[in-house]
Amino acid sequence: MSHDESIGESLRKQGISRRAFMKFCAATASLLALPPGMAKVMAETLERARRPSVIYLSYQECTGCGESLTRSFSPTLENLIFNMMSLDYYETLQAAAGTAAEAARKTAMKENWGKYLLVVDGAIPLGIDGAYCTIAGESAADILTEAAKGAAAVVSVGTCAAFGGIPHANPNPTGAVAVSAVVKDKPVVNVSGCPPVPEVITGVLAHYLTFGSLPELDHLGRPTVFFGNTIHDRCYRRPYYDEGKFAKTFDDEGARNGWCLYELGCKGPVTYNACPTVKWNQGTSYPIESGHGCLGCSEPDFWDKGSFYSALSTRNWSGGTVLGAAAAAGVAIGVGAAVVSRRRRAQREKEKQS
Amino acid sequence: MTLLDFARGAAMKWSIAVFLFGVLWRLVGVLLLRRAHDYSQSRGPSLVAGALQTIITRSWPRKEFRASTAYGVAISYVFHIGLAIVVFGFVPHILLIRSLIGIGWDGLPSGVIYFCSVVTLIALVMAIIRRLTHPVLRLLSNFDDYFSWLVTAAPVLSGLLVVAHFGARYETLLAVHILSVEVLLIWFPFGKLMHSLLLPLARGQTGAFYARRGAST
Amino acid sequence: MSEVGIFPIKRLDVPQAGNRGQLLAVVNEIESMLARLAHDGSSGSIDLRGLPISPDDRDHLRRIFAEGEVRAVIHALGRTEVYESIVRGVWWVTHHDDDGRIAAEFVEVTYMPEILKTPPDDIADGLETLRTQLPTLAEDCHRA
Repeated sequence: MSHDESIGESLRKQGISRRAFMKFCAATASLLALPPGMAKVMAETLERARRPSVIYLSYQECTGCGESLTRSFSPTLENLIFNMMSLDYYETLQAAAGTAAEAARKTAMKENWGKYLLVVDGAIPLGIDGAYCTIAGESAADILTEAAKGAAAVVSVGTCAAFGGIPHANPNPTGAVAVSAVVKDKPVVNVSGCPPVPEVITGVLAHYLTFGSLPELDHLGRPTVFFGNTIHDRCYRRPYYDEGKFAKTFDDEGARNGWCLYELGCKGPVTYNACPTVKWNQGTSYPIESGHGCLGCSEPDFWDKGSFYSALSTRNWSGGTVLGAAAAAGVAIGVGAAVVSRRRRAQREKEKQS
Repeated sequence: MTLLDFARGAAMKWSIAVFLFGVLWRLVGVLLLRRAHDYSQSRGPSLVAGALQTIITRSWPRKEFRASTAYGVAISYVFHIGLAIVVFGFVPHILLIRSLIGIGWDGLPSGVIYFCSVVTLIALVMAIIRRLTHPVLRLLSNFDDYFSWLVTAAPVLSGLLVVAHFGARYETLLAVHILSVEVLLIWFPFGKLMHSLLLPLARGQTGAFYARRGAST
Repeated sequence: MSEVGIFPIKRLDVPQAGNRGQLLAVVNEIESMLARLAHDGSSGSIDLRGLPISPDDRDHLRRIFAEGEVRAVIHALGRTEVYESIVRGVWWVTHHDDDGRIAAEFVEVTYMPEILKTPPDDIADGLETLRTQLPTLAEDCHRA
């Protein structure tokens, strides 16, 4: 399919009826939490839009994000989004290898310079001049910098690309950083999550296709349409939190009744993501619905915030010795003060007697 | 590191350290003070009973002063009881206490806690208004009184804001709430908040003194 | 006992009882939409994806708006099921993808859901299809 063809033309060639397309738009508008009336606007815009080129780069990552994304593809609906764009470079899925693959990337970049969408997953290691991650002799940081120069926008997919994620976790031996630490002069959207909800990835792409711009972002660069509420705000177990009904263990009566998992370490109250509304595995459920608290995987440094199983209001430190020392010092000074006071008093009494 | 990480981590550790240090310093210092020997014979049946009796009876205004102190005593009772319910009845607080000292108990429904916090806050505001408008009380008040009020009221207000998600993002509000409690912990041993530990001692001492002399208190 | 792969699991039939307050809010919303439709003919729609209600409450909602007189099935990018509920004017629209999984689900309060109406583009396609058949049909008639 050529880049010059409009999306409408391309879809008609595939024999997709207008009604089917409307259905797709209704599903996508729902995903983007747009008012139902927007489905029509979306259909009209997409009809005329050109298919954008997408270059997908992977660095320090586990391919979980790619797995998540490809799992989201039911044969028709969401796949349509990818039919609407031209995925010109993606190591995980492409047939080309070696110099042919690199040539494909360079060609795509050259042909669509200034217009392509750059999708990145994985963190970028800056330690020892980027030597921890190299592809075809070039460091990740160098390839990314070069590719970002010609991009219209950059989408950081997954917590590693968005915030450094697990490679960035303490003690961060490779000096891993987020994409936004390397790319400073282009708009960067952070689609965080470990992995991100697949529909959120496609939703951001759909938004870009429909409106030709990136969605509204929060202070961490995440699209507010998906990251505007905490898990806790949208959780169906929230009423139990308000009633003070909590599961104490994973197999007690409270857990079976579907009570709130706050005491079991759920990080829902401080985690912004779309899990409770979009859900996972084609809308089957999300972690809390399956009986496990939220790990907070879409937040920066989630790996370094203490146990996943200790409640949010509890302490996040250890160091009994500091407290012991403080207590001992307090007692010592208290004893000292009393001794001084006693001596003075004795002294005064002596003076009185003499 | 986010503000919340700081509040839950280093700030919490060091504020508790300062609290322990200060409280033990003052308590040990007071308890080890030399008491003058009293060579007279005790006229009361029991000094301990006298001490306990005074601690209790003085928690209630005497008939003679009731008219002038009733208002102050009433609002004080309201916010003291309210604070106790909120601090020790809210599940997230209990979880914190359990993570610190290993002892926990069942919490109250969150709705009860929200109600109590609002009542407590109103009583605290009434208390400070009284302090600011009462001619005598105003002359008696110093920085310690006002600052102690502030560090007590701030956690109640910030806690309510956390629950209501009002004014900022939840994690910021939560961090501010935890930090406000940490300021309270640091100030506690060095200001008038220490009365919560010293008051029973002082009253007990007075009660024992009078019991020895056979006087009623 | 049911099985997940090779691991036998014990199924506990404890419904995840939700909070009726949330369900009530949704039903109230539908009620006001229906009142608007009766009053000035304006349609409304609720996206069921965004509702923070428990699976149990969702079932309950299904029972309140159970299937009524009209049912239609659309085959476009997977199956879409549309029915008017026993509460007339309230339609339940479920879009499935090709694998039968739910892609989107709406409660629509309207005279007829948009997805059932034929879009002008498709009418043009229909006209074209029909016109290609006309000459052949005409020839057949002449011969007969």
